[in-house]
Amino acid sequence: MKGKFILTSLSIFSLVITCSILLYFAVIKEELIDSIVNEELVSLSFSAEVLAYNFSHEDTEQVKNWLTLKSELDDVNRIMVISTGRTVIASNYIADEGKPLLEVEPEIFNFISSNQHVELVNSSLRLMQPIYHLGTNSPSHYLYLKRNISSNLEQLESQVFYLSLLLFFLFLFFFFLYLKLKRLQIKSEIYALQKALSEFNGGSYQVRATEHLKSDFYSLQCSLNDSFALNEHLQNYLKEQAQFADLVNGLVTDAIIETDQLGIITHVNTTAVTMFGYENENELIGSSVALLIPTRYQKQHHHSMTNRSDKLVTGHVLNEVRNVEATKKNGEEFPVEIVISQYEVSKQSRFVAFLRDISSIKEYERSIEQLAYFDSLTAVLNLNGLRKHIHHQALPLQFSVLELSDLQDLNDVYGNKLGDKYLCKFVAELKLLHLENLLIARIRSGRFLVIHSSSLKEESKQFHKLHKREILLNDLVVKIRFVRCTAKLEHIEKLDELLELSGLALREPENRVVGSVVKIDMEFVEGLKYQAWLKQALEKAIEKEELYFAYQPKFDTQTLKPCAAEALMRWQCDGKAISPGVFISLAEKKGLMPQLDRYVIKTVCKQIRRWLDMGLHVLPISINLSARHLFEQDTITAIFEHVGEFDIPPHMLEVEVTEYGLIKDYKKTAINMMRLEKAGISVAIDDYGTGHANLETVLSLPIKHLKIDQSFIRLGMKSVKGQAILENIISLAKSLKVVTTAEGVETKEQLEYLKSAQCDAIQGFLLSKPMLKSDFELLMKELNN
Amino acid sequence: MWNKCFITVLIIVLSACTDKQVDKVRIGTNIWPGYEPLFVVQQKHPKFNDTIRFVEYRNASQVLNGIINNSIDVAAVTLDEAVKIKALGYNIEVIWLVDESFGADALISKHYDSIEALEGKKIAVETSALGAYFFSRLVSINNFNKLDFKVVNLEVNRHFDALNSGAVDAVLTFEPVKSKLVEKGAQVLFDSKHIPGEIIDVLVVNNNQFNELKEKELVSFLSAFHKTVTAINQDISPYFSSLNRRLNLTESQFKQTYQEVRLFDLEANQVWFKDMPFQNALIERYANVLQQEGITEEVCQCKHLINSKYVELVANER
Repeated sequence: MKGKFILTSLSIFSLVITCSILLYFAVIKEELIDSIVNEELVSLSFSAEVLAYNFSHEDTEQVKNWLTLKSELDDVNRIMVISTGRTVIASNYIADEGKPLLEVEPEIFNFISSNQHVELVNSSLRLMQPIYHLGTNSPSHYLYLKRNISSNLEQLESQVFYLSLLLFFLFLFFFFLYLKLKRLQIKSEIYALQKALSEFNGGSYQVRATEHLKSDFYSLQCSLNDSFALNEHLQNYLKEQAQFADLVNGLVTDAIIETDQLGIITHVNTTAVTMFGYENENELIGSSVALLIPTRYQKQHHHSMTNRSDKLVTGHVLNEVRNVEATKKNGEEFPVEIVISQYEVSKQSRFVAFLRDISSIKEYERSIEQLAYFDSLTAVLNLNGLRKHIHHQALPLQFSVLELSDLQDLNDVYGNKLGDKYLCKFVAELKLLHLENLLIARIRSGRFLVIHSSSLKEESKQFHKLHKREILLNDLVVKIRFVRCTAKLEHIEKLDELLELSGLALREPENRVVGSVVKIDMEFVEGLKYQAWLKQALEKAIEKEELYFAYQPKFDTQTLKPCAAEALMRWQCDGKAISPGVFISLAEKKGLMPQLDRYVIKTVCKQIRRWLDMGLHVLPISINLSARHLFEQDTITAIFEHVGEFDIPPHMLEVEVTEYGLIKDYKKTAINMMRLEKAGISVAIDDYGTGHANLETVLSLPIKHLKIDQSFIRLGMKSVKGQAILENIISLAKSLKVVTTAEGVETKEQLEYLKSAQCDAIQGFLLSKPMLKSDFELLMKELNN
Repeated sequence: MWNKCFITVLIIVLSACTDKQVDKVRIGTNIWPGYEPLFVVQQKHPKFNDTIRFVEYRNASQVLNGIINNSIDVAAVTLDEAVKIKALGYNIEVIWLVDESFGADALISKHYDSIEALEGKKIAVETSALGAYFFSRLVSINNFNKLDFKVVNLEVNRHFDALNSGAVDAVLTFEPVKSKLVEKGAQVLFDSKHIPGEIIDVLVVNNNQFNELKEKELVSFLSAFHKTVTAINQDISPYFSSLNRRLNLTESQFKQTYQEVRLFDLEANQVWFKDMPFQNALIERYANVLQQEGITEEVCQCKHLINSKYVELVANER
């Protein structure tokens, strides 16, 4: 650019100089010479006049003085005053004066003689001016002047040259001035653009460059403004994004930590600072992220960082939600949920971790787990906890369910607090059992499940030691007493089944005896299955009225004639007789007794009606109703309902109250018995002697019949004491006008003895076994006859 | 950068637009036998035509004007004239001692045979030059008062005609006018033999327009001049023609004249330039006389009037 500029300047310079020189030689030089000549001629003419004056006064010295002064001039080479006789009158060379011209300057002799006044030879200008006599045209002298005008010409040439140079430099000056002004203008415009850029970069995004249509930078200004507008839009967008990010950063409950590829922390949010227990973010920024990682994981972390290219290493780390441990500033470790993402800034990897403190969640989970898997009172496992923990145990395991026997009594008597304490102490004792892999769970209020891997023998030994061990509750000494079911757990899936079976077993009254141990095995399970099947069959039999009755007559002791009969229920199931002891017991267990009782009442009433309708001499028929259900309103209602329905004389139906020992509310029982008695239906106490109620209590009830159990008969037959008791019973009954019937009379001796003891009636195999209906009808027919 | 270049070039251009410098050393002299060897040098050495230009003045007053007007660079003047010019404030230096007048300056009368006879008479004196000092010394030595005479200021080239025509009664003039007047019957009443060593002709340099180049040329010329003077002093006869070209004297007049003028060669110059007390005394005398005569108003600052540099340079060239 600079070289081109210099070349252009030199070209212009050369052009100007060339033009000037050409102009000089073509015009100026000639003009100058003419000018000089004319000037000199005028001057000489004037001088000639002065000299003519001097000559007229014959003052030649004055002429010489003038000539001398003229000769002072540098360009004057020769000056002479020559007489018309061609003698030198005065000369700048004094030595020439008075000499003939031919001797001094022969070459100008002809010049003076000619009419030519001017001659130019090689820059030497020769001039000749005649000096006239005053007032005439005749010359008296000649003034000759030889001047060197080379200096004039050189001066002119140099002036022309320098003028050209001046013009050139003026041109350059104005050119530079133009450039300078243009530069200033451009600088000003660039400054304006720069200022706009600076202001924009300084944050004034609304700033715009002024657009001048005539400016050299118009397109740039327009482009810049377009860029400004775009950038303003972007800045606003970024600002909004930043505000949003700040908002999110402030509100987000997750900690956000950004690191570079070396694991140096480059950014953290407020939550991160708080979460890790730091004062401010500056404590973390610039530190290694290892600071936040427990020491035991740091090596693994370092390995991950240094082998980032290994997808196997990073694959399971990036973008995966993981639960890890983190370290606070004070060294405390806490669980966090972490997701790590990777992105690139300027070809440098950055990692962003989003962390959530899950301490409370873990704590909550622990509490939930505690609630879900542990008993809140005793802190041992609950059933769910046991189910969970048992998976870690090697099978088979020994399984025991323990039910504390006295817990309910303690709760009732001393309050639940003491009961709870009892439970805790019991658990403490359980924990002391020397059983391998012991797992204890509380599965119900007073029921515990103990699982271990020791032998059955060792288990028996340990529980035996535990049973009846004394524990101190406040000031109260309580013996540990429990019932237990034991089994072998061979499959985890069988756990619930075993628990269920244990529950079933513990529901059985016979199993609830303190210290009893129920072994839950195949036999136990088969028994349960059989009972279930039998229950269904029984229900079906009741529905289909497949249950039938055998009638066992009662005989008057004195006459030995049938005086009444007892209807005894019989059941043939699939051709096989089921013992009443079995199905009655089953009905009791399965809650079928009310149904069965109504069946008995209805069927017997119906049979009596039939027999009456047949015209038979119907003996009073007694039915057995348990004390447990007899005095329920429905049962009494059913009796009255069916007696009325079949319109049978009330005295033909007698109710034998079995399980009198279960009577608790004697007053209410007495009221119900009274209602039956008033209706004409007599009430008897069956199997007296098997229960624990004393005789006076039993006889205080409004009953008319007392059936003495076979055991009393045998007892009376064996010892004097037994005899006294029996006689006392009979005697007391008689005194109360209560008829006595001895059951299970099987020998003549017993008959004789009862006769002597004045027992009213007897019943037993000695006189008659229970009879089928047809046989009993024959008996009644015989009685008719 | 560009601005500086531009300004520099502009200054050069503008300064170049002024008149071109004159390169030749311009030497101005009047007609005096002591100065004629200068012209002889130029005749002998045509090379000096390129470096030396003589301006031939008719009288000393013209020479002084030439210095004052800067028309000449070197002037041949008397030492008292040099003191006068210096006292007037012009920047000149005396660089070379040309000659000493030993009778070549004289009071001449045609019709009166003594100075006393000239009392109240008209005497032509070139008062603007040496004449003033010489007349003052004449009056002083002869115990007159200058008011005893009617002094007429007249340039030397008019002396001959003035005395011949009787326009004046006496002239205080010098060679060659003196010899020409004596030839016409005039007689010498007083000459410079009475004040030996006081009328000295010197070359002065007008420092106004002098430069190193001119100095070099002048030294070269003086070197040749000194050789010519030495030759003349040894034997003047071969130089009759060349020395007499402007004097136009007869041979006897020529010989007489050059007996009354002592030409100084280099050695004489060296001696004179070293004699500082003499120089100072002489200069002081001139200055006092000029001041007394009212020619100069102020005391001459003549401390640096004498410059021996050229003499030394010429001596070194030899």
